[in-house]
Amino acid sequence: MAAVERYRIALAGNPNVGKTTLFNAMTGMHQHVGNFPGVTVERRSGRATRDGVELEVVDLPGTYSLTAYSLDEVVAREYIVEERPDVVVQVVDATNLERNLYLTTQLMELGVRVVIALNMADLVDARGDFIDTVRMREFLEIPVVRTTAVEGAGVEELIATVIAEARLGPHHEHEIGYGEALEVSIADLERILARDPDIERRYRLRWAAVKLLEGDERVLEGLVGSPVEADVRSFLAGVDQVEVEAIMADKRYEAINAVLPHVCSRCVPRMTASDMIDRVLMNRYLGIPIFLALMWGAFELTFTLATPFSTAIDMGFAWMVDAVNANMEPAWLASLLGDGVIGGVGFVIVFVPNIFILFLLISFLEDSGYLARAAFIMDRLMYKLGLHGKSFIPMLMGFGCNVPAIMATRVIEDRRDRIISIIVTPFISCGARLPIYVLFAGAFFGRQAGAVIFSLYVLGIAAAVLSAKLLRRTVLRGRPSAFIMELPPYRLPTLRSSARHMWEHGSMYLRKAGSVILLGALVMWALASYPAGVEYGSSESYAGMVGRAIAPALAPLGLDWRIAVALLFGLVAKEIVVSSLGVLYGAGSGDGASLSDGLQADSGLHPLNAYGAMAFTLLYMPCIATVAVIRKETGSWKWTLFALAYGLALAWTVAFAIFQGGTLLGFGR
Amino acid sequence: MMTAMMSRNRPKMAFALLAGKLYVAGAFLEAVAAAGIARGAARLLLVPGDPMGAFVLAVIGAIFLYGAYELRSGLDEGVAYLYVGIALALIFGMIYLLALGASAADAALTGDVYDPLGGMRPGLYLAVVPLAGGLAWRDRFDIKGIRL
Ligand SMILES: Nc1nc2c(ncn2[C@@H]2O[C@H](COP(=O)(O)OP(=O)(O)OP(=O)(O)O)[C@@H](O)[C@H]2O)c(=O)[nH]1
Repeated sequence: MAAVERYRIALAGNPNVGKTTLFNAMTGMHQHVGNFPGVTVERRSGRATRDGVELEVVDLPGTYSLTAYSLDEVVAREYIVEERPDVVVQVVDATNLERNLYLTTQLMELGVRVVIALNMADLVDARGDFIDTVRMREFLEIPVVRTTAVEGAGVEELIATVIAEARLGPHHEHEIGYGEALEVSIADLERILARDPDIERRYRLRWAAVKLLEGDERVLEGLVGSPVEADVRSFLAGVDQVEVEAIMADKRYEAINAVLPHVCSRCVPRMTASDMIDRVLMNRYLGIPIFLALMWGAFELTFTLATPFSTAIDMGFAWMVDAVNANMEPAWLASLLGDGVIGGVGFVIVFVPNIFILFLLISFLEDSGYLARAAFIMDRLMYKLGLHGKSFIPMLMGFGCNVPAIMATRVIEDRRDRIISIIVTPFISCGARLPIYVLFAGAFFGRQAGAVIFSLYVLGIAAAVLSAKLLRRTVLRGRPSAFIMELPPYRLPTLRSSARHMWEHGSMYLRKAGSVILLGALVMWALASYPAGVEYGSSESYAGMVGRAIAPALAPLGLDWRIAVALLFGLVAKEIVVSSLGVLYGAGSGDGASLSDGLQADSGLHPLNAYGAMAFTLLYMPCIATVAVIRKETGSWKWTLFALAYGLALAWTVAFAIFQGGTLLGFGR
Repeated sequence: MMTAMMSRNRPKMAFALLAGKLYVAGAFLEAVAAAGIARGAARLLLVPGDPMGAFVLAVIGAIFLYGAYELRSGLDEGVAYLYVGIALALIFGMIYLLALGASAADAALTGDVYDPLGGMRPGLYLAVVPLAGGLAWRDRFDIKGIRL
């Protein structure tokens, strides 16, 4: 006879939800009553056999939570942690979802397989309620089966679902998120705990970290004698555990209350505005289209609203260049000021309005609570694509600047998940790349500029996501871990806090313009002016020589030496691509023509290769600051170099495909 | 009771249906114009050929239609789609209005000729309909506390 397929099942649930009744219905007469080891808590176990699969079912004591405050809770929890049943069936009183789901959030955290038996389904029907088990499964990533234990209804389906769940390999999970500050503490604590392999074997690290932060004495006792005990204690000394416990409980209820209106029509006495907005924005089919529409709207506004401001700044600088050229002696000084300083820095300042508006809009979306929803909407997709759900927020931050985004991947515990996120985050288009798009799209795409810029952001996201999938399949095999969901209620963002965000990020950009970018522009100016006697910015200048040296590599992309030099200097900071072009094209013409006119006139660019150039700039290589932070966060030169080489290869391939493919299709000039 | 609820929701349902149809029609025209078909007729209706604009209109239209569908099935929560649809339609109307203002300001700066009709688009003028709805049900939109 073949080996019997055997699984161990535990029934958990709040008191009085019908656990014992369900246990009887599942196991029939095959029962055994004893005690849990060491305590006088009754332990009932029984057996159920279906199609040659044997289930050993244990009825755990009824508990509201899994803290260590009562003997019943400790017994239930120790059983799950120590005995590791294959599946925990949580029996839920469907007439009281909110309180019952609190236990669910804790079971999710324990990292066990959970199946929900939505018991008392008869009472739900009797009061005319409806619970959407499919939607519930989507939100919790837990299978849900309706049962009426007293009638035995749904019991067979429950058993079949339990067997299917036990057979299934690792799959996607959701967990409750506790807010950025606590998430960082959790990840830090996990890293300390992970140093003791014994702990890693015994506990799920995230769960242990959460419990320790909540001040759980039992888990702390479990660390006695461990080499990391002292470190854990000193880490916890800086934490107000009573406050943390309260915050965590709030966050669990916050998530439950965000889920309830989606799954149950009578669970909430009256839908709040937040619930109503959520119904629409998180609609199964409309959620992602709405997200895309809103993002597109943000970029459209970024481009159009900034135009008059940019024009005014541009005109101001053009006037200054004219004034300098007309009145300044000697000529080289006029050129240094006009072409180098004003041309280089000025053309970057022109894009400050775009950057400010983009940051304002992103913080609107973030402060309103929408971005957390967007993360949730995208999570399933992300998981399918091999990305960790947690990497969505760092990626969104990447729209501002990649450096803090890469640092934000610290909330991802798993090293492989984290390295994948770090490698792909630079493909997310940061604020510094925006001036390049605005310049090129404005010069070559006219009214479609907004859509073109949007498409580049989409391209960046696609590159990140597809690269993650590729990496997951090849060099960094494994499965992404659970998604940490946070669903804060919607709030109307205040102009004040959004404006403060905007200023924090935007002013950083201004400071950069006054330092790195100015320096880059001066170096560029020197390279464009010398050796002495050459025509400014010509191919005989040093800049020209450097450009011509690398130009062959870019020729298949339809880009000439001037773009090549600009891209090379853009490695320092991506804005320098624009300022270099400003030095080479814009002010050089001397008649106050704007940079985009200069580009249109004689760069050999047309819409197709301009688009290729934008795509190349998006992907080719992160700026120096980002490279430094990649090195720091991966702790490895190998991965840093890999990230650089990979980005460069991808950029070249994509730009090549755009230019050559477009030419074949007849879009070339 | 059921019929009382439905008659209470009837005006909302009719409104959601109308707004939904208008937006979907706008989306269709914009998509057609973007594909280069019937450009002349499209220009007459002030519809530019803009695929992303068409997409946005289609999303808003779908929200309205879904709301109408839920209200018709007697689901009171369908109003959520109506209100959020109105809010999104107004947000996008505002985006286009700001764009229009910005290009007027830009034209004033550069001295270019300014063609206000050139910036017209369904996302802007169709927003009059949700605006009327928003005004009719404005007590349901509480700006400070987000109440709907
Ligand atoms: N209407 C209805 N009543 C049920 C259902 N399941 C259980 N009950 C009733 O709920 C009560 C509690 O059931 P138990 O099985 O004792 O609940 P328990 O969770 O084991 O309770 P503790 O052992 O105290 O934790 C009993 O009176 C059951 O008859 C159900 O599906 N529908």
